[in-house]
Amino acid sequence: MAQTIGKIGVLVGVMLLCHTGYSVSQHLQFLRYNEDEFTSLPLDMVLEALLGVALAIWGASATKTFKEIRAVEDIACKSYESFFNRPNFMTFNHRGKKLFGMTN
Amino acid sequence: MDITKEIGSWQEARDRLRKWRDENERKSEDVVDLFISYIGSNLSKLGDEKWVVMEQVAIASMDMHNLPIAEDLIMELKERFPKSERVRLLQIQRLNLLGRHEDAMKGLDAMIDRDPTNSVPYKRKIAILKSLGRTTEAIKELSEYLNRFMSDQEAWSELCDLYLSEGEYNRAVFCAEELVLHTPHNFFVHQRLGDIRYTMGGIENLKLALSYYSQALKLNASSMRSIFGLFLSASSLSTNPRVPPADKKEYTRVVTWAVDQITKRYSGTNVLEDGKAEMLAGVFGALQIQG
Repeated sequence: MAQTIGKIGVLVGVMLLCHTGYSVSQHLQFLRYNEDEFTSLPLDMVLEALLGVALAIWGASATKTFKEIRAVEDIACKSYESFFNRPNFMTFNHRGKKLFGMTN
Repeated sequence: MDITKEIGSWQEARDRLRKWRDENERKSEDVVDLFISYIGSNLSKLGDEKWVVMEQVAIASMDMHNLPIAEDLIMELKERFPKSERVRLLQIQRLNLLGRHEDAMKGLDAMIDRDPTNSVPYKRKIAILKSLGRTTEAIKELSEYLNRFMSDQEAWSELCDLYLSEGEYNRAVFCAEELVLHTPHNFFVHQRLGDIRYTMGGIENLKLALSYYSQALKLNASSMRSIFGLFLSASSLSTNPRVPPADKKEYTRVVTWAVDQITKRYSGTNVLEDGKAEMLAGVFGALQIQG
């Protein structure tokens, strides 16, 4: 559920941003036709851009489950055995031969 | 525990095998069981992952001394990748399994000639020496190997264990310290250094062990082994007649803290039933070695 809302949030946010970009270029064109000086953007465009960014960020973080920032989280649930398992130094000369052996 | 009861479908089995591959688990018996019950008949459904799974199962079945499975898999891999060095390594491992160590050595030497930058054949040669019980030779070879491949953690860890098996604690400490340099955030390496220092004994080593266990605990507060290590090293320090009384007080505080922590952690589980909490104190006493 949170995932779908998040995805919609990203979509709407990005659409708002695109729309802002389009409005700004329209606005500049309008200024050029009227030969006005550019002072600042109208408030509604600034607000729209900020809202778009906020929505997109919120949506993107709601869709993902984050990885723990502390490095130990990955290792804490591992066992001593698997951490010190070294596949390249594996030898087969062990009790397995007698326990499960099918080779002789 | 029987792994085939825990897992219900070949998809689950595939995911489990993938997890074990990623997490570097050995679990050979379970891998072979899963292969026999689920994966073997569904190999073609695995897509490109098939080949990695086959390699994994081949190694596991050799570990289990189940030659028929291993030979089938290696043969099929060989047909698909006739020139692969990875398949060649599997074939050489098969030779080891059959006890043909000389042939295996020759094969590995040939691989090294073909590509001296491939580190695996060197390590396999050392593994053969180790399995033959020629530990001193293995140590010599491994040190030479480490001169060339200095950042190989697996090799440092192996050398550390080889030195430990020979009782050369000072050299083992050097290797373990090298591992700390590589992964300072990993509590296992600190814990192992603590273990080695505690085994070496003496006031200075015990103090070092105490710091290593503390660091391990700082990195991972749930590490039971580190708390026990902390308890043991602090309690031997607090009873040592050569430790100044002012320091002893400090060590006694650590001991009390560690015992508290251990009892607290076990009291939430059913490990400690009623009345057994007192037993724990007795066990603590018995755990100590007199340095």
